[in-house]
Amino acid sequence: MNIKRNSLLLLFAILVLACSQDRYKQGRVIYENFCANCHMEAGQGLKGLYPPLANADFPIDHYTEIPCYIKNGMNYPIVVNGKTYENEMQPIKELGPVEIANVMNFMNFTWEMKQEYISPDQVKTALLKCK
Amino acid sequence: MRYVLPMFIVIITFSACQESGELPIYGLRYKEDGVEKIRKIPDFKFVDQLGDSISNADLEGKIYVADFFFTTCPTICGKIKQQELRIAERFKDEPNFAILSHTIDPKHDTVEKLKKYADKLEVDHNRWHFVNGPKEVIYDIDEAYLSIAMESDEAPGGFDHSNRVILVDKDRQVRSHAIGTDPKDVDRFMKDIQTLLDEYKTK
Repeated sequence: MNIKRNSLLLLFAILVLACSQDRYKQGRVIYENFCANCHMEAGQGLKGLYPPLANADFPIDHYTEIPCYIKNGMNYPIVVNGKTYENEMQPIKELGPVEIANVMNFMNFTWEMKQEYISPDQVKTALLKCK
Repeated sequence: MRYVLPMFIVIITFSACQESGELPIYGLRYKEDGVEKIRKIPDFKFVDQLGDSISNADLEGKIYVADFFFTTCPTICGKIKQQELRIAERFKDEPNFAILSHTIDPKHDTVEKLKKYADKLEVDHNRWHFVNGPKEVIYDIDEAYLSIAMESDEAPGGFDHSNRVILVDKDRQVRSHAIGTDPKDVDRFMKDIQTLLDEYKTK
């Protein structure tokens, strides 16, 4: 009886662990499809061409502007971790507030950016303030 | 149980054959004056990121990897370049090895833009050429590389070729190709590059 109960507990623990490791599933899928092509699978970027998103100062310092970068792209040089990047970022028009919030929460959680959880409504507000 | 050893021997024999086999030669076979010939990569002449002209004659005596990209590509190009950087690093000490990246957006990707792109990727400009040429010429040669690479394998219909890296030997024949975004396939491709280099060393 004990064995049965223990294995049930174990199964439950595995399930909880599995879920918590993929808490931002849609965000992860969006990241893989739209972002990883340039920023790479672990957010490490590519040499001096594409800036890193993980362990990087710029995305944390400009966190509230990220929805605008995703939606409208970027065509001016930026400095990330002391290095200048000037390759143009293409806009990703097809992502709406829900998708942007999901991908941002995925990045924030995965790379421990220590930012507040962002909601689709907050993304909508941020998009209204784009320059 | 008594089948295990013979099976083992069979498996070993087959895998050994695959390991040591020479690379296939892709390309349509045709007869010219009764002699069988293989379709090759046609002559070309482009300009690279240093503003130097790069033709098939400049690559004579070298094997090279060819690909097609553009600097503002938001999709697969970054991943392919990431994998090609691995290839460049692995064969950086091979004197007879080069990479030829053709822009498919020659109007935008000027020599200056290509130079900047190559600088940002920190490549060896003498071994990795980012080339620009007239659009129709680039598209024709793109077609030549890919159709030669593809005709022995996958059906071309509806197949996305654009993610391919292609290995060309000293006789301008296609000898291998890989999905440039797939690290595992590129691992296999690098083994093929080594096999081809070894082929010339033993000759």
